[in-house]
Amino acid sequence: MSPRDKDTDSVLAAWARRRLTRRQVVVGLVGLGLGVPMASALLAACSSPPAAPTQPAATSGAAAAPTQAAAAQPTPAAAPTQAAAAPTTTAVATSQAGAAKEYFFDFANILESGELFKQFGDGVESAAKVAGVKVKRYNNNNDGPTTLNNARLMIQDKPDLILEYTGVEGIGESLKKMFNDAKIPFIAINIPIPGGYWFNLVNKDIGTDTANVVVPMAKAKGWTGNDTTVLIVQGSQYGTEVNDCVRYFYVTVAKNMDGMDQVDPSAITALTTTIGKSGIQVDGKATLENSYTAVKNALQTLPPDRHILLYSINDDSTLGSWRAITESKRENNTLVAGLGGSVAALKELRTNPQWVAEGSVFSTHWGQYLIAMGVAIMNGVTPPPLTKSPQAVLTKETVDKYYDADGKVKLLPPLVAENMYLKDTGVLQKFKNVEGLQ
Amino acid sequence: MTTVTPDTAQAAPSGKAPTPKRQSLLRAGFQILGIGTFYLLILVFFSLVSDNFMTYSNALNILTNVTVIGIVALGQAFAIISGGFDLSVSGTVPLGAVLFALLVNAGVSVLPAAVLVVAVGAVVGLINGLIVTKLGINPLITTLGTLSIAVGLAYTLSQGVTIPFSDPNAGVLADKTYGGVSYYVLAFALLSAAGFAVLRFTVFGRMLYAIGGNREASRLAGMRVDLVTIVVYMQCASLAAFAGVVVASQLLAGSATVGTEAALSSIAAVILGGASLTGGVGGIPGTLIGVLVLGTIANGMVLMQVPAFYQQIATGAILLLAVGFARLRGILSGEQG
Repeated sequence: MSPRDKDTDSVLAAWARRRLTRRQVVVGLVGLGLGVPMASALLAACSSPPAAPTQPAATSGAAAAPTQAAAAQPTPAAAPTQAAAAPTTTAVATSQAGAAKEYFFDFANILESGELFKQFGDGVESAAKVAGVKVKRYNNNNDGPTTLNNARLMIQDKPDLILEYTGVEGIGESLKKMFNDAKIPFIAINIPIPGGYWFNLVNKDIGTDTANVVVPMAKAKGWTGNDTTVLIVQGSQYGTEVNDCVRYFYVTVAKNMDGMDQVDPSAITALTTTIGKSGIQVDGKATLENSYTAVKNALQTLPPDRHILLYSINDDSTLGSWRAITESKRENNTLVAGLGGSVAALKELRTNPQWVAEGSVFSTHWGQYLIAMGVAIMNGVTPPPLTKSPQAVLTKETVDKYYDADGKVKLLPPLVAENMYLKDTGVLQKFKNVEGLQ
Repeated sequence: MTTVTPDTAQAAPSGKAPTPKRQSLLRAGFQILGIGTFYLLILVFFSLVSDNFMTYSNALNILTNVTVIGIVALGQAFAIISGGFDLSVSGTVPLGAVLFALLVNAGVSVLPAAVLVVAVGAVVGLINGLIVTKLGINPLITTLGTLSIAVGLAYTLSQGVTIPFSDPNAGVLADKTYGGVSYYVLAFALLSAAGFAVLRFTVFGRMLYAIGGNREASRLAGMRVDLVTIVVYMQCASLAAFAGVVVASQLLAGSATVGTEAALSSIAAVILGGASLTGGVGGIPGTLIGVLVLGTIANGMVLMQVPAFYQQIATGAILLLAVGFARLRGILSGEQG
């Protein structure tokens, strides 16, 4: 009998006699601790994919907020003026082809908690239903390992196309390899993935357009660059692209208001706290509470009669910041613009005289664009490098055109020139809610 | 034969002679002096580097910022002194905030809504207490589990959205002031005074120290250890729920994303204030100073315009300094172990 056999026997015998030593217990537990996960992983790899998990991720609240910021970056289209492109014969054929075949798409949502992402996910599913596309939904939990695991499961589904919304840009290469090896085309939503088609809003444009709405209103009040401070609330951990909105908001305001310190956009980074004498940047972490605290602290550095232009990366952050402004009794000296088109923010736009603009990316309706994009790809169309999401900067005059009194979207802005290929699929026409395609 | 008393129970594990009550008070006093001195140094430092720091409005601002964590820390202090701790406060705060917003939007008046929310917090605490005492599950695991449940409930009830108050007057705790001080700050002060009185002057308070010092000896001494533990967790969660009411009043909205750092911040504040994770030590004055240290550091760094990433590094470093300073003071004063 080998020494190992003797050891095993002694452990078993000791267990039988209920006389295990501490060392034996520890060894046994370690073995159990290693063996069980390995067995589970093996079983999971061999098992059929589970039903699309929709359980909200047990992540902190802060995780939910960033996605809202990430999503709030559409190209500003406050006054849509795109001319409708003439449909091509190919487009007619492809739309017919698109309507005939039922495609199957897999869809991995970044997160299932938080208003924005849950509604976005629901929007994709309902759009697929209208378009006659079968969709299976996964929850990436805003987590790299979960995203990769979902990718493996989606590949097993053998879908026609994958809609991938990951919050972890660093795993892009891994996703690319997996999807390319499986020869499944994929659309990257918001966060780019190498090798995939890209659907996103453009943060830079929304920030610029919002500033172009706010500045004339500030000037109309007699505010100048010498008595006005731009207070931008970033979400530093969400990267450069997401924070482009607040960055370009400042840059555009400074360009159009005499007396403001002008800087290059690249000079405003995550570490920036002051921008000359004209700007302050705080980190609200894209959440209600953190933004409230950050702005409340920052206001201590501003004289009580200073005019303020307030802008943030998402509505929760703006609402928290605005609350700090009102608690400090500075509302009459502040103009605020939101970003996200949430129900609470739209109410503020309609009722609060100081809330003068609201950027909306219509994220609840991204689904119909994504499905149309997927059908176009299936029909052999090569989309442009970036398919832009619908977006508009709403004012008190234009909000009712796009949203009803309950904050539900009733009209989407017209397609921009780069997105005209979507019209050719015939998918968007089924929804009858895109201006120019009703 | 030695009769086991609460003071005896505290010293029993080391086998030494019973520690006089006066000596334990002196020890606590030195702890507070240590962290209190450190706080004074922080005040002096920020006053020198920022013109806007030492102003009345900024002082009120700091009080406003620390109130929510302060209320949670009051409850956490009781839990830690009794030898446990409560991580579920990070779920009870957002649950309280969301519930409060839903209730006031449904037409319930502020006071009944607040009472209801606090009652729900008490239920969370009751669950914690029962699991810890009757099932014998470690407080870490127990409160981690209830944290996850409470957060999930908050998200479920709010459906993941921020719930603004339909009537801004419901934010009375934040909007009404007395002498420029918001009602919720005054409520915090009252709760602090009550907490101090309970710990210092009541039998219940002495039992907490005894149980925290030596649970088994306290049980042998005839104390109803399980009941006291359950009550401690109930009051901790009730205070956390009230903190949720306060933060919802501040923001005029309920959200499942608030209070996520409540557990770690409150524990840090209590430990900064001189308590020990093993229990039996600590108090309200030290906890309050710990809360103020955390809030003042955050405020001071914003006024100094320190970038957000560096703030995290600086906060951690200052916390270690603060604990080290208090510990050094304790050693120099002759404190044992």
